Amino acid sequence: MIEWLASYQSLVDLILLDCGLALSQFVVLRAGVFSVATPGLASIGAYTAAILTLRMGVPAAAGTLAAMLAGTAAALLLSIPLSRLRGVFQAIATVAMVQIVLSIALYATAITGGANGLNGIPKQVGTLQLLLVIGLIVYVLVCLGRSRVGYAFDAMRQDETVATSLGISVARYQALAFALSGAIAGLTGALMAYHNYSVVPEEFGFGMLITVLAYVVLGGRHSVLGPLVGAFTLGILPELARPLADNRLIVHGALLMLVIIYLPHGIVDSLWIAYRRRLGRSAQSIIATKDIADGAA
Amino acid sequence: MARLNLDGVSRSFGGVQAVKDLSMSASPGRIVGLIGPNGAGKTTVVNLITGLLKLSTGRIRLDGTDISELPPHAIARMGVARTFQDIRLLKEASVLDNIVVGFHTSDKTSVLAQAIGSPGVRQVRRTIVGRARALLDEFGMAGYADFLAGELSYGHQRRVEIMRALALEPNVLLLDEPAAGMNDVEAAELGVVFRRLAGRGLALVVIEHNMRLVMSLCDELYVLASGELISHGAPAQVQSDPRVVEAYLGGEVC
Amino acid sequence: MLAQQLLNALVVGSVYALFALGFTLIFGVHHILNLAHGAVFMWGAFVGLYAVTELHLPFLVAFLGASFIAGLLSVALDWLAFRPLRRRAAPEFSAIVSSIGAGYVLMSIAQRVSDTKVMRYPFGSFPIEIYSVLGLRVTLLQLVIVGSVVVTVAGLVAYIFHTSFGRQIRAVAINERTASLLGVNPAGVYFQTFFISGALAGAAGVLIGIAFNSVHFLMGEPYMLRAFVVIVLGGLGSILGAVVGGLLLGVIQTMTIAYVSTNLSDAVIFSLLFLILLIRPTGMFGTLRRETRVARE
Repeated sequence: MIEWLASYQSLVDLILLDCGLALSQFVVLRAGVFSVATPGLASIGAYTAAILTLRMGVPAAAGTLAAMLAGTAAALLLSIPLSRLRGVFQAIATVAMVQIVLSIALYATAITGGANGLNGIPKQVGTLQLLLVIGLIVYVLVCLGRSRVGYAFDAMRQDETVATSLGISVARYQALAFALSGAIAGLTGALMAYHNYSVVPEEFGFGMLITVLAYVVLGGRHSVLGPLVGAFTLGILPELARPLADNRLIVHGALLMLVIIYLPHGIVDSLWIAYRRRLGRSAQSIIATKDIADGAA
Repeated sequence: MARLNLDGVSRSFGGVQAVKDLSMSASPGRIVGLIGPNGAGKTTVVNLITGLLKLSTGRIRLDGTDISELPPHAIARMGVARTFQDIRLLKEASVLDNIVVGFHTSDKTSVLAQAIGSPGVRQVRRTIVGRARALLDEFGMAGYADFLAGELSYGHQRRVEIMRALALEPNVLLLDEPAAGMNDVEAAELGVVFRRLAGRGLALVVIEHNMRLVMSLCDELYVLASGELISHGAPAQVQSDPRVVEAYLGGEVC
Repeated sequence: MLAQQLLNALVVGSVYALFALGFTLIFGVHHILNLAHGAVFMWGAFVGLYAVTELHLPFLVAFLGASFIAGLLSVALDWLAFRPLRRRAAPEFSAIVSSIGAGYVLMSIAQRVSDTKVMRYPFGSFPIEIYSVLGLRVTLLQLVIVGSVVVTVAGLVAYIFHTSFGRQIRAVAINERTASLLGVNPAGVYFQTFFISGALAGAAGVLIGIAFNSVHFLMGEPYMLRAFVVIVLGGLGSILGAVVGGLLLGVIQTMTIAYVSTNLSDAVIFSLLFLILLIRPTGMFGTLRRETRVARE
């Protein structure tokens, strides 16, 4: 039993880290912001933590905190120009940001180690720490989701004009969404650094961008459970069957197409909506009979 | 003192003048009707008031404060609520959630408190849900709370939109064709609701094509045609104004 | 030396323009951001190479054949990735995600077919002729590349502005629904625009494949990213913008590599993209409505 668990531990760790990235991507998409900056923000967090620990001997806890702050700051900075853009323009701008970060990571060899990245980072993060951190992030997001912030995000995502007509300052809440996304991404980046022994620039490129987007598309953009389900599903898929592992690219690609066409809300949200529909249909008849009995129109 | 004041307001789009030199006002307790043929610029007026469009000329004042340059969310926070001509509900959310989101400005808890799930925040949310349910009761839709908003009938969707606007606790309520798609009975019921709201001190501006409703409900009418005000006064006056009759293509207004 | 660099820039820029033309056509007419465009480009290169190496066809035939097949591939792409979404009146986000998925499917098939290897043209596939023009060294291939772009742009402009088919395309670009009410068959327009877009991408792919003598399944990605810059710079939906933007990018990139640093070129280009999105998202010749935030307009 223990051996079985142990052999799967690295997979669990990987999925947990992916959950972190997925949650970062989720936050902005829930608020209707079409940002795919998560890899860039995670990269900033990872490098911040790695550089502080390797070059200045900063302990992991402080390094993680610094990474989180760095991610938040970068995201807030990004939100300023992005507040003027919408839809595909936001997406393009954030893709550009990821490329710029990648480019700098590759070029500033003295600081970042260039294409080889930074190695020899002491491993400080294990499964337990990952569970705690991801659990904490999930808790905070669920709390926010049920509060004013969550409702504002949902309104903004579905109809920005309506949201403003209800007194929601879209600029302010978009900035908040960015800040949260940056904090989570920075945090996850640090966790990656302290778990994987190394930080390499190519990790945080287009591949991560697509995968992370896929997690949220697959799982759903409203419920916090969505990105988790997405990360878990795509994480274990390669383990279920050899062919799935060998054809990662085509599986991801086909899945993205099929989900967005046939299950556009993602697995979790589609279930939720179907459940609501069922509630409605069964209660519909009760109400109809009641209306007739009351003689109302 | 009038609650809402438009003074010489104009708006052009390229070469087309959608609204031309309009002056009008809405006061607490009174229901003002904004009528006119299609394309007269009525919705444009609402968009100008609520901050979705820039004024080309003129000023708009709310309780004496100039709101002409304010962004839409700020105007909403000052107590100006509106409904949309093409009912804009959040179709993916429940009826209850659609109304709850209207209470956005009532929730003054900090983001930090929300993030940690403090009991204070939960209390505020409970109160808000309670008030949302109270609205549903008032409009006779208590059983619909958990339905998907997109599944409702047109008439019910309209009511949800109105409830959402009321959640803002507005002083001014701008209604864009609230009775569209309703039969006379439903429209009359809506009229009763509006009277009640006016009785509570709200200033109502109603854009409508249902003339029976407009004539019986409104205290005064503004008639717009091609962006210009062609008549203003009590319903009876306006009804017999030859310019109004002509604007409606020579047909009888009522 | 500067003149020689400018010549390089012209050639590079021409390819960017050719690539961007197809991309901007789809966006301009149908408001679809087709992120599988790079994969179609890559497949054009594959087919061109196959035609020369396996079928032993002369280069010109291979070039035209590959362009044609790429056009058909693009139409198939529309049928599978976008048409189902149109039927469901899906939001913009869905089309972008679907195109990402489709691109991945295409790339993974290419990866399989090519065994993840970089493939090359056999020596002599394209005549090596060097001319001296105004003291500059110009190869036949460079002339062909620039010439192709000139011919293509001229042809495209003639097609769109001087034929009845083109009129239909323009009608759909303004308003698809109205156009269909006036008797235009949108399906026919989608066929044409996607075919043309694919053919242009395929042509660009063949030219790049032979110019750098390198064909591999990931070759479309850097061009996709460059295309963002081109169309934002030139203006989404503008043919003139794609050409001018492409040439301008060619110049900027070539000059940065020649006089600053190769590593930094990406950072420079994407920072430029960012800047443009801030100052003037519609680009130089953008004709489309800006997607703006909800505020007083």
